[in-house]
Amino acid sequence: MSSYLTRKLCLGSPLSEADIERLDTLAGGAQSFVSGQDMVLEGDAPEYVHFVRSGTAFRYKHLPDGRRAIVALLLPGDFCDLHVTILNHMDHSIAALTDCEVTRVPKAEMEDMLYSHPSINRACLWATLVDEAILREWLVNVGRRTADKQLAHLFCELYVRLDAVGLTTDHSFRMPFTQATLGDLLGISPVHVQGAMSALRAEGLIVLQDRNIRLPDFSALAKLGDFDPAYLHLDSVNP
Amino acid sequence: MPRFYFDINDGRTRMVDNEGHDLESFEAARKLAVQELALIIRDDMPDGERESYVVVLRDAQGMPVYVATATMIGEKLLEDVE
Repeated sequence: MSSYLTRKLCLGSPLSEADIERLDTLAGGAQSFVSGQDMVLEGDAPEYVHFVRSGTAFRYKHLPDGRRAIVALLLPGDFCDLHVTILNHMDHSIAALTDCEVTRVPKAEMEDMLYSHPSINRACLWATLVDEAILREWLVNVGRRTADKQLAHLFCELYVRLDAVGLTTDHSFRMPFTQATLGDLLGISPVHVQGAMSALRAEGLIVLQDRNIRLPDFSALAKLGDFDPAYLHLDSVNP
Repeated sequence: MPRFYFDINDGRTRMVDNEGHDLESFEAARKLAVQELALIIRDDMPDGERESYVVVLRDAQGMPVYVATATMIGEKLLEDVE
C-alpha cells in the first residue's frame, strides 16, 4: 500500500517509480504527538519539514484575548510546513488535533529532493497552491455563511479530502472535532455550533455514530453549504 | 467545571438545550449567552419588522439563572418609499 503522502502527491503531478521510491524513503522516521500537543510554534525557525502520516493536525493563531483561530486542517498526506524551506520563521503555530504521527524531514534533505526530482517539486507546488485555495474558500466560509452552511461546507470538504487519500468508508469518516474545536474553526461559539449541528442532524444531513460522522446524502449537504469541490483541484493529473 | 444550558427562542422556534456546556464560571456562561444572541441575529434575516431573540441560561440543576434578549425593530420612514 502506498503512503498517504504518495497518494496525495500523485494527485498533483504524475510521479515516476523513482519519485515514489524517493518519497517512501522520506517516510522513514516517525514522531508521535498526543492530542492538543504543539508541534511547531509561531516564531520558531524549524530545521525540519513535517508531514502527517496519521491523525489530524491544525494550523492556528492565538488572539490576545485568549481565543484561538484554527486556519487549516492537516490530514494524512499533507505537509505541515513546506514553506520553511523558503521562509525562515513560522508565522503561525501547528498542533495535533488528534493523536498524530508525523515524519520530520530535515530542511536540507527536503531542498535536495525538490531540486533533484522535478515532478515531486511540481506536486509540492500543487499541494501549496491547493492549500491556498482552501484558505480562500475558508475565508468565504467564515465571513459569509450561516452556521449550518458553514458546517455543511466544512464536512463536505473534509469528506472529499479524506476520500482522495482513501480514508472514508460507507459515506463516513472519523470525526476529530469537539464543539469547541468546530467553533474555533468557524469563528463561532460552541453554543452556536451545537444549535447548527442539531439542525443538520434533524434534517438527516449528518449522522454521528461513535466517533464517526456519516453524510447520508452528500449532494443535499453540498447544496446547503454551496460546496463545489473544484477548488481542491483533484483533477489536475487526470482531468 | 459547572454545566450550563442555553435555551434559544428566535420568535419562530424554541430550542431547548439538552446537552449543555461545561464552563469555568457563571460569567463565562453569561458572555457566551450574549455572544449567542449576536450569532443568531447574524444568521437570521428577520422576516418581519419586529423580532425578539431570547437566550435563557440554566444552571446544572436546570434552574434559569440569566436571560438575554435582543429586539429588532424596523420602521419605514416614508409612506411611499420603495
